Amino acid sequence: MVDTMTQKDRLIAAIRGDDVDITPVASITQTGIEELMDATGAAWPEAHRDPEKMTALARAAYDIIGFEGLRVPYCLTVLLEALGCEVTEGSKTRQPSIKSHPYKKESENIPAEVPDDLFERGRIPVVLESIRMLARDGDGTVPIIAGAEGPITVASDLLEVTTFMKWSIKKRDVIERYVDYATDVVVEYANALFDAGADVFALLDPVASPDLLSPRDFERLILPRYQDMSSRLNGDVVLHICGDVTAILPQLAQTGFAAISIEEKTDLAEAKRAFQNKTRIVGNVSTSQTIFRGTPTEVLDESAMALQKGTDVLAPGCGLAPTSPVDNCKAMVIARNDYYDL
Amino acid sequence: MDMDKETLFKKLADAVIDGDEDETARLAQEALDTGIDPYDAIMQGCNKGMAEVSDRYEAKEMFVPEILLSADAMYAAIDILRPHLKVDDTVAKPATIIIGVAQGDIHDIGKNLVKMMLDVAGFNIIDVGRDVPVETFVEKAVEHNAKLVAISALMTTSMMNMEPVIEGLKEQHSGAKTIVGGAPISQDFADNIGAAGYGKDAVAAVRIAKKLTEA
Repeated sequence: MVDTMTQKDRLIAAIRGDDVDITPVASITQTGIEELMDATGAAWPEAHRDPEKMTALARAAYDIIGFEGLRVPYCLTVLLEALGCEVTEGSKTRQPSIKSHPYKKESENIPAEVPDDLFERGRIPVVLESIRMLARDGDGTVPIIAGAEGPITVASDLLEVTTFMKWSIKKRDVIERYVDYATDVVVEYANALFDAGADVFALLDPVASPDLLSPRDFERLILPRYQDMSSRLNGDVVLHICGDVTAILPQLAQTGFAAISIEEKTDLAEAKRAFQNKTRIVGNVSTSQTIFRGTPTEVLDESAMALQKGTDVLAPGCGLAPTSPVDNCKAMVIARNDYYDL
Repeated sequence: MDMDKETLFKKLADAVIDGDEDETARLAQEALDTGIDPYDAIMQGCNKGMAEVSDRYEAKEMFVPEILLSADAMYAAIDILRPHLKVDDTVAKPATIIIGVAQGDIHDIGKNLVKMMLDVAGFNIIDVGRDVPVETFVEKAVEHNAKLVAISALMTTSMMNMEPVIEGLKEQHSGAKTIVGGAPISQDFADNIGAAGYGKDAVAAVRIAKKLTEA
């Protein structure tokens, strides 16, 4: 088959449900793994704070693995740090993590407005600069995928997740306002990522998982915010929620986002049926098992299965574990090529 | 006229299920005031309520927010009842379990649920917290002569810090078995890293903990 589309056009078409020549293989979740760090000298923790290293590590997943996208950053703490959470530095194989929660004590005083200087805070300038570098130095044919934590994750970490959970019952109005605030912040940030040159926004909202909140909460508390976001975001969005999302598939079909990224805990064929092409599917090769600890052959098999079940973008089911072997990641690309006899 | 024991236990269990900590505290006090054995109140009131919560959680009728409120309600009663328990030295000491979240991971909500349910099930729990270094798990297991070490991870990026704990235990405290759990963890993963058990949720974790400590 003649390869007629650029990788960027193909990924965008795939998540919008338009025709593609072949299914793209890319990661919308984090791609920083140790072998890539060693190959490029762009390692964590520096690559979380240094725009050149952040950029170099993103290119490595494209150059070395062959993922058809450039994906930054490598953690779920950039926006939260800018909003006042303290963040641990992490190490070469450990992501930065949230250390403190700015609204834990003054709980009910939610900030009403998105801070004016948001884009100057913390590592946001680093991410924006990295995206600009990727956009400027490429030939425009490779999609740039920028990720950030979603509104439920932001709201729960501003407050502290246990309090967030309890108040979702006891002080519902306060939680509603926190989530509204977080939604506004994420929308402004995501639009800044698009302005800097991102082609796809990866909205990662692990706390919205039915592992934690009920499908009823998803319907009432979360879905309306996602729908609001999708109307206010100036580009294509892929939503990723961790865990088994089978219970909320009907709601996920209604977010208005281009595509939903799922883990292997959700059956791809079942998701496909539930979505009815109202939204597309990105996934779902196991990052916790196959890519991390399996063999390339196992990755080939699981990738072929995902393609057969109709994934719109062949992708890891979640963020890559930092010590995952490059050969296992490459096997996804080989599987896609084999599938099309390329 | 005071209500009878059975009615109070039932009310206590219901208040736990409803997550009503004011009501559970009030009922606990009432149990003490009317001379009900605090051990019976905990076992037949609080624990019965929490067992129902576990069932409803497994059936996906209750979710994490409700369980957290139920836990608060249960502990509000237990805090009042526990100081009045009669100490019985003839009863065998319960097995000790070390529990914590893998290094690099600060998500402890799941760990706290498991801890609470293990506590209810009668184990002696040593909570080593979150983002726990490998050595700490091992040291604490040795120090407390633990029968079981329970490790949780919520991220694909932190679960790789479980296996070194299992290896460390093999060398330094081979009497302890390990159970693992958390969002990215599966039975396959648990088998591969040499864990003795895997709990897909808090209820399953208690089941496997009981099985492994009885063996």
